[in-house]
Order: sequence, then structure tokens, then C-alpha cells
Amino acid sequence: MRRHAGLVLGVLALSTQAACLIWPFPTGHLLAGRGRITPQYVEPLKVGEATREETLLRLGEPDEVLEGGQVFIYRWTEVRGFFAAGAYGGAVVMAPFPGHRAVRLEFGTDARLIRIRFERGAPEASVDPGTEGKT
Amino acid sequence: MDQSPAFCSVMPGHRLPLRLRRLLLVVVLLGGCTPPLLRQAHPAELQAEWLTFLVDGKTTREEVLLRLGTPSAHLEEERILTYAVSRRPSGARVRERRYLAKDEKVPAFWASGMENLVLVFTVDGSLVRHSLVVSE
Repeated sequence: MRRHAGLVLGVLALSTQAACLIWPFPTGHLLAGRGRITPQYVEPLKVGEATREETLLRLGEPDEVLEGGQVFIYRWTEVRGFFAAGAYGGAVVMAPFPGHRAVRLEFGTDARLIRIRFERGAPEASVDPGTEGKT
Repeated sequence: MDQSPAFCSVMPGHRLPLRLRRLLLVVVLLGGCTPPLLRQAHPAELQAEWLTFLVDGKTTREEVLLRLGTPSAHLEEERILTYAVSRRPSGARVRERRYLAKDEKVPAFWASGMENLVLVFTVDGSLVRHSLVVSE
């Protein structure tokens, strides 16, 4: 037990010497994407009523178009915190913790919105053959 | 002598305890850390110089393509065109494209201050509706 405590104290002491900082809070920076989409912003898009056209006018072009236009995905990546380390007279290393966010909108065969879902997590590689018109 | 803790010493007409004030300061500071949000452009922003030629019911797809060039996306069988641009501090607009950064699996926009112009045309190619989605 005492050995573990000593180890922890040693690591902590070293981390202070290396000027280590972990900032586990959002910094308000956007790493990728056009911007955050809030639930309030998509509120006018009512399920069963909003069309694909209204969705595009409200949110702009989607980052992914899947299933032949039945699914739009809007993605953005926020900084959720960062790790920084530096040494005396040396270089500073800084790495942000990325927070991947997305809104997935699904449409029915009549082009009306049937589902909106907010998602978290890194996207999987997806280049769907149904992706339409991306240049 | 009263030994009550700082949190319990709030009296009507007195200032908030120091610990509570610090906590509120942290909450306010963290609350301010919000990334740019999407919003609809204000009417004045839709009257910006680069958009003045857009008149619903009048402007044609041909005019749009001649003025703005290749769209960044076309949807609904080319009935809807979009243009992605970013604002420079000088006020100039620069066309933006998605690209795949290292370690990323999906192409994304990496510029700040993005704007997305969405243009809806009729089947015969005349503009019926348009919007500008701004990131701020």
C-alpha cells in the first residue's frame, strides 16, 4: 500500500516537473465541421412534417448523404479538453481531446422527416454508394 | 461565537458566500465555452453584396452557376445547390471544401466562420427559395 502511494506521489512529482496539465473541460473550440447543431435549432423541423428541402434550408448541406438520400448526417468535432506537457526550456506538447458529435435525420419515401437523433462518438468510414452529388 | 460554515452564512441582504461565488464564476466561465453554433442568417446578412443578385422567382440556375461557379453539393436531382464558404476578417468570402485529415475517417470542413448558401430551384431552373446558414 505504502509502495503504491509512493509511486503515485512520484508520478505526480514528475508530472509537475514536466509541467503537465490535463484540462478536462470544453474550451469552446471547433476542430472540424461547420458548427454545433443544438436541439433548439432543429426544433422547427417537426417529425412527420418537415421535408428534405426544409431540412436543407435550415441546416445547410449534410456531411453525409446515405441510403440514396433517405439519411442526412451532420457532423462536427468540438474540443472537450486538452492535455499539455512541457519541459524546462524545451518544447511544449499539446493535444486536444476531440468530442465527435452528429445529428442523424432520416426521411421516409415521401421525403418527410421520420426521425432525428443526436449521436456521439467518432464516425466510422462510410462512403455510401447512395451518396448524392458530393463534389 | 458562531462557528457555522461559510455555505450556511447567507443572510437576507448579505453577499453570497465566497465559495458559492467561486463556484458560480467557474460555471459562468465554463458555460461561455461553447463552440460556434449554426443559425439562420439575419435579413441584413442575406443582403450582403455577394448575394444581392439572388431574387426568388427571378434568378436562374445558369446565372448562379456563372456567378458562383461549381457548387459544393447538389441534391434532389440537382434541384438544390449549396455553396460552402468561409468569412475572412477582411470580409471576403472564400470557397471551402471538405477534406480528409490524418486519422479521420470522414471528410470534414476545417475552416472557421463557415457559411452555407442553400438554393432551391424549380424543375425549369428558376430560384424559388434560398437560405444562408451561418456558423457563429
